[in-house]
Amino acid sequence: MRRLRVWLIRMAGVFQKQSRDRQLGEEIESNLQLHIDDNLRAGMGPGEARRQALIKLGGIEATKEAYRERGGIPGFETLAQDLRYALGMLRKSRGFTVVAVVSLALGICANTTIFSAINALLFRGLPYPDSDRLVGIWNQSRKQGGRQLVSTGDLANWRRQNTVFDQIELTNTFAGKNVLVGGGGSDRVGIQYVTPGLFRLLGVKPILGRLLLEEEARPATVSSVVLSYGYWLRRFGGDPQILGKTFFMDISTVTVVGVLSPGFDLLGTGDTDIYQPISAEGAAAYQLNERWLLAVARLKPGVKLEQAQSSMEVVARRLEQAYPDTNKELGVRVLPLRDALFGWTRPVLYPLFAAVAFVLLIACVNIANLMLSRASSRRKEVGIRSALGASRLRLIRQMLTESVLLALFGGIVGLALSFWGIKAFLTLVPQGYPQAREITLDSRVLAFTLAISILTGIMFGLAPALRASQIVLTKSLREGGRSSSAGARHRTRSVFVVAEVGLALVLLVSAGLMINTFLRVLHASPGFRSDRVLTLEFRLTGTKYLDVSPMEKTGFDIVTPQVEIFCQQVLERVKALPGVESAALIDWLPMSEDRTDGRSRGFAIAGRPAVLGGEKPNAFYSAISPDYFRVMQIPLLRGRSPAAQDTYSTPWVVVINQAMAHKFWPNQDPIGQVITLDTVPDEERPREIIGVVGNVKQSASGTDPAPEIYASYRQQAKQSPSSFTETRLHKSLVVRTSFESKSLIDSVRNTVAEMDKDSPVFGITTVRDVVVNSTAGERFYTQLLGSFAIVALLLAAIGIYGVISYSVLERSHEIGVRMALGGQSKQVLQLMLKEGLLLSSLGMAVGLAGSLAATPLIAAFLYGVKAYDLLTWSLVSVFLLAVTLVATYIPGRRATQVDPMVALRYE
Amino acid sequence: MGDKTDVWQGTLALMLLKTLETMGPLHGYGIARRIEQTSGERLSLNYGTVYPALLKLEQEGYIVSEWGLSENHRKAKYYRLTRAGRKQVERETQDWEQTTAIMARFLSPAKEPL
Repeated sequence: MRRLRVWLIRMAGVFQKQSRDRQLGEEIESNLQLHIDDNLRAGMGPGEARRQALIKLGGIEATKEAYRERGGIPGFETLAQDLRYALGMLRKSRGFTVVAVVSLALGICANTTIFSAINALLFRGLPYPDSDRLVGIWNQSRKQGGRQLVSTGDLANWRRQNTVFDQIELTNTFAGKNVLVGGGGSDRVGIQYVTPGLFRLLGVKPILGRLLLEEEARPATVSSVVLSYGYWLRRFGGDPQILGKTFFMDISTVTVVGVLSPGFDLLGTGDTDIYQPISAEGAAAYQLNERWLLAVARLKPGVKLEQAQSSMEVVARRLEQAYPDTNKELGVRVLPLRDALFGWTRPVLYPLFAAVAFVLLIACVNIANLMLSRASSRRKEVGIRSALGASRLRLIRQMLTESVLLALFGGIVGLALSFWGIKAFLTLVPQGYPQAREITLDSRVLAFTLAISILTGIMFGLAPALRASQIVLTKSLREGGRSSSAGARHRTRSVFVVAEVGLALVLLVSAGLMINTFLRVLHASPGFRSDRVLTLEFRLTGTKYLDVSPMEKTGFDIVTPQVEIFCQQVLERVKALPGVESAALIDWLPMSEDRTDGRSRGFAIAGRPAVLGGEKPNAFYSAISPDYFRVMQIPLLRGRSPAAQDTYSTPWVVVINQAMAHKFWPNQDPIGQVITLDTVPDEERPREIIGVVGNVKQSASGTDPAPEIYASYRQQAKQSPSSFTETRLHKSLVVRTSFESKSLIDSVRNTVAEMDKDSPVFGITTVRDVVVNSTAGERFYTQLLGSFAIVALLLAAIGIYGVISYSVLERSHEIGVRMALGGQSKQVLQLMLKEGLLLSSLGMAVGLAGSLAATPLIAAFLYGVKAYDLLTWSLVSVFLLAVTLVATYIPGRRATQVDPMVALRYE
Repeated sequence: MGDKTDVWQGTLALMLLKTLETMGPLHGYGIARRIEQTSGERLSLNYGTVYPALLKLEQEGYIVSEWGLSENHRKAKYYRLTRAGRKQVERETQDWEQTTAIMARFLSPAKEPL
């Protein structure tokens, strides 16, 4: 208590300094008078009486200082004093301050931006109750590892056998596309399938109506759905009458029973418009194999993640025994829900984080360098201060105060900049990037920014402070004296430059590899010509096109002949438009975004066993119209393409791509060979291979081309397994035009849209844009790494420039002597260039070693380039060397202009 | 001057308090003088060191100060012991006696074998 009282008084005392000082002055004065009176009485003369009293008192100033320290809080007061002094210094050298604050702000802005992106995905708690007990569960092959999703059969088994979870539910991991028809239109929507309990598990409330009920998950003629808040607003304008309204999806009827409260977006992509229930019950054996869902569960109170993991492992072993066909070698992985949803972004974001850390580090080194140069001009000031009794610690503290203050300014400006930084980041992220809307400056980001600001302040301030406070008194005070530590300081600066060049090189190599990748991706031929080709997609919707009633008996939907008729009509009408050269259809355009799975089909080759080398042959399968290869200018290498006369009733034929020919008929002519697809065994007929076409890339950075089969859209089975139905009803139209024109796009769209009001037309663009868009991921990465590398390069160049200019300044005497003794300016220039060259080549050696360690981190994002790509490495090194040489040359030239007379007189 | 002892750290506060206890309200100069006299001029004290120490005691609430007039009509700041101060003198005196007793035993162990 007493101690607290003392501190309160002292704290208050901080603000009463002046009155306290005055009072003390009076007290001492009065006591001094009493003493003098006594001395006079003792018989001293007035002068002597005063002198003795003063001696006895001890130094008045020292007394006052001790009294002052006791009166307030010394650390605090010196801090305030240091701050005032630091502010003064920063204001005085305005140029330095601006340069330092700007480069720090850039570095801190980049770090804050990337950190807030990481924070949104990997650090921030999920906004659900008991979120620390929420986990994601998936299967994992014991042999290969990796993620395998979960089937409804798995869920049923886990629910029965586990002892560690309160509740387990399922959701799919991306919003599948479908079409919602009704209410005066149709549009394409993202569907997320969930078990009804998921909402309860995550504590989600409806804003309107109710949530899904367990019994609504069972197959029924009318399925209940809930809408996301965003979709409700967007499509229905927040209409409260939406409840109970019915719509069509495929051919099934759905009723809206509720609207979720805003903000719920488990997957974070904002793509989900409608939540449709799925059931975890049913014929388990079939359902075990269909692994396309993620399990979300809540741990029982007090159960640890590791416990759950080992407990589920036991369950998995048991299931392996019970279902050897579907669960062989299948382990289980339990991990925090946040990691299960977003953990995959770690290898994407951490290299970026490392890159911005490098940028900040380079900025730090630069400022440390600047401060070192300033330290020599402040030599005298420091000398005086230490002569007046400032301890070394006090000096260091003063200088650190200055640098931390500087860093905090940089931090504030950087934080302000990161509002734009985040905006820029958001414009760069590719579509479907999760949690993009969650990237904000929250308290954790602010704490991070504050922490790195202080840390950088100490980092770039410490070395110069230590150096500067070392100055030998007498030498620094002597006018014009050369400090013996100048050499050491120069050495420190050189080490800094080496580090800087090294860091910059690591960034440049990484960025160079990404740029190389991007260029390759951009210029790699996709296998088709994309100029002057328009594209749009349509999705046939309604009972006219699809009959699902046989599904329960046969397991197949029926695709009606209307689909073929519609396609034929589309082609006829579009081809008749002026400006259209040719038009064709394919299920899904290669490299387009929405391409769903369900394209891979198994087949058997006539005359060969059904299983080849341990696996059944399979390939991507597309239904096309006859002109497809011509419109896309995919080269026909052998044979012919499907023609108009190839119809349902004529013999069925296929065209394969080169990759397929290589894989299955390596030394043989595939033409004339016969294959049979195994999707609809009753109806599918043997198909003769009539042609071979070139490979087409399926995605921008796709790996080796996969085998592909093309068949005419008129030679398709009428039955379709439900997993392929979407592919049967979705078509991409490609139109080769004689000129590029926006108006043509509209007329094509209108032509198709008029044909069926209920079947939406979307994705209208040029094929070239599709190709460019498919590189969005690479572009995102290249732009970010590239801009960080450019900043790093600039900072490193400034660093070298600074050191060489200072070196010129410091050696102007020596240079002057050389010139006076007949040295050529060329030699002087050489001398300076040699120094710059030495520093930068040392830095490059460091940087190359660093790059060896760093580039494997981004190897996963490279395409067509190895992490140790010699060309990239050499180009980048030469480039960096050139930049450093220019940065050396400019101040080096100044050395040659040194006037010997002036330089000598200066001494 | 060589045979004079400096004031040991930590003992000054007790001396100040004790002086105020015996002398009643007194100003800084008076207290310092009194300490020197009491020590039989064997302690050497810079009068200046008294002020911070007095301030500390005041902050701790053991003494209070007010301005008054001295015997020869000079304005001076007078310090006075509070109730807490009196208790503190007692406590510190006991502590100090205990400490010196222990030290005495250490320094002349012959009297009382350990």
